[in-house]
Amino acid sequence: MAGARGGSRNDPAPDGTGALFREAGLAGLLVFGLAAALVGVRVQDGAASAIAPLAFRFDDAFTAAAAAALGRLGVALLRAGLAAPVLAGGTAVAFAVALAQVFFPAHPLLLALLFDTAMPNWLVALFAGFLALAAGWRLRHAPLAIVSETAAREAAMDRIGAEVQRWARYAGPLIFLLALALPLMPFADRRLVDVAILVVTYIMLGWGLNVVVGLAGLLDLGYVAFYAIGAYAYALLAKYVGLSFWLCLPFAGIMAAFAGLLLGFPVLRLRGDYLAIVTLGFGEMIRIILLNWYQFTGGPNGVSGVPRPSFFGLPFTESPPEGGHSFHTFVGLFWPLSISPTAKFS
Amino acid sequence: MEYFTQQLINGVTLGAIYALIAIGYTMVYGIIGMINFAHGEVFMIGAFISIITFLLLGLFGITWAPFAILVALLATMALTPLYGWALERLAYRPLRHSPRLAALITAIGMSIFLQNYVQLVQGARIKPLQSLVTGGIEIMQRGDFVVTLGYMQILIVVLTVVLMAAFTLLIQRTALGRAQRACEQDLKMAALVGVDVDRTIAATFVMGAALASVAGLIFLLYYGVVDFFIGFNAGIKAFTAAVLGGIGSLPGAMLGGLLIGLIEAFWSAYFSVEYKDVAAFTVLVMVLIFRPTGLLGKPDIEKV
Repeated sequence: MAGARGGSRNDPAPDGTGALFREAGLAGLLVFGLAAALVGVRVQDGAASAIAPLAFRFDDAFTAAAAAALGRLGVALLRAGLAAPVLAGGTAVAFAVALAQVFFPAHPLLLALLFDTAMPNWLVALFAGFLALAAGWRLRHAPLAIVSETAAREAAMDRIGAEVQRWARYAGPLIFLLALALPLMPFADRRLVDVAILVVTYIMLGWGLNVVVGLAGLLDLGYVAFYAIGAYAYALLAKYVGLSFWLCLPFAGIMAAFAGLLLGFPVLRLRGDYLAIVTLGFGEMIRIILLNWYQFTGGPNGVSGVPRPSFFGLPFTESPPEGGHSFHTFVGLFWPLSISPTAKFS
Repeated sequence: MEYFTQQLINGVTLGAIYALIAIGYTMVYGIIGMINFAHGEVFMIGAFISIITFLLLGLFGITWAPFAILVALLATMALTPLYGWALERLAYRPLRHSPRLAALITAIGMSIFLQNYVQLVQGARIKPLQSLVTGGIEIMQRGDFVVTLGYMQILIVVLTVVLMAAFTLLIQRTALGRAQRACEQDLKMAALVGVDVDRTIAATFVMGAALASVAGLIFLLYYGVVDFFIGFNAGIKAFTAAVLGGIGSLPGAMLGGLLIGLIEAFWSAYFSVEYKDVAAFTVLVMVLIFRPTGLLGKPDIEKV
């Protein structure tokens, strides 16, 4: 396997400058072919299409081709062992593009030379900088034989992985404490807390996926279907049956688990790609059903007004209901209003 | 009966599109055993290059349908395969000896990448195109209901049949086709007897992309709209077709495409339009569970 992987890099090592430039030219030509139609011409829509159905950006297609040719030239030079020109050229291009983007983003000459939007320009600068860094690294260290490049890279990646795992042991509890303290931090506004909640949701999704894909080795591409089932189970049960969040929590889990069971029995006869496809199809089916079963799920409008969770009848709201308590006033979890972080939530 | 005939016509037309895309899936799977999830996106890019060509021709005042369609066909068949080639070269070839999951996930990643790329450069809105070919032949009539065989539908079916015939000849008669069949049987052995495996696989992606681009052109002509997301649905349906016919088998892909087209047309006509995709996926799941080799697949297919 390892030998085959090394052999998969079967480009003939470029032996002369002619070969180098031909490789770069081919890359540029290919990218121009890719970009000429889709980047060079834009189909206008809406009001703009009444004036002209097409907008032309051939300069951007040329820019893409030139960037690809230059980048390929850099990579080929690096592979041929000529690190010094790559270091010089990469640094020059990275700085030139970055400075131009920062100081003259709307200069007509630069608009013609570079991409019209900022993001691809930054990518070009980033890649040029990366090439320059790689060249610099190559110059400082003993030149490696080309054959061992893949092996060296993998060894480096393994080292980084081991390092990350070593740090994760200490970082994990620390991050957990930080996550607990985050809502109480003075800089925690609504947006930050929302993002943090999204992060936690994805962590939980990742855990579930890890059980299926990681531990059981079944590539389940329809995994999100269970996410949807859980969400709809809570929304519908809470809204129409009137169950509380704490009852719905296990119910939603049980329902998603039953859906998994329903799916699992037939598809566990399959392995590998077939399993991936069937689960993908299942996920799509769930999505289509949820979108089209209008009376039950509300279709694309979704379910609105889902009751929020409460704690033994105490709502988790900032301002307590008239004559009652909300959770944080009841347990005394509040600050003087002047420094209250929760004041920013409203 | 009249209604049935009309649905039959519609289903065959739809099936032609699916069959053209399905061939790309089945060929790639046959040779390197990988599901090229980005193939649907190649189809979508073919449709976009077609609409750009039509609008460019329109700017020059050329709207004579046969010429415009011919030019669009040549343009999309020339430019779209570059995407297929680049996809193979950049994303799949470096991973050819990696675990299967890595290649599969890469393919999904490329699919998302291409979708977002087109959304970025062409915008997210639906792009309409005036229909170029209108009218048709009225076959039969009962009361108000007229069964029409549109000229567009005739064009689609004829184009598909011609392309498939040419393609079958290419596989069966040329040196490239022989190399492809050799690679399909055994990659390593083919390499040992002097087949340039890399070039053959690249050629497979190019051919698949060319067929998908024609499907994109047909889709554009038939429905008159295109957006960046059409590739997902068409791709997964075409993959279903390839699996139904027996993945790895070319006649199977054609048959499967036709069947999926018919199933969809009849389901929408007699049951419900909303759930036509569910019907297609149910067929997929059923086939995979009860006959993973598909209708025309080889019985010794690897069932790992």
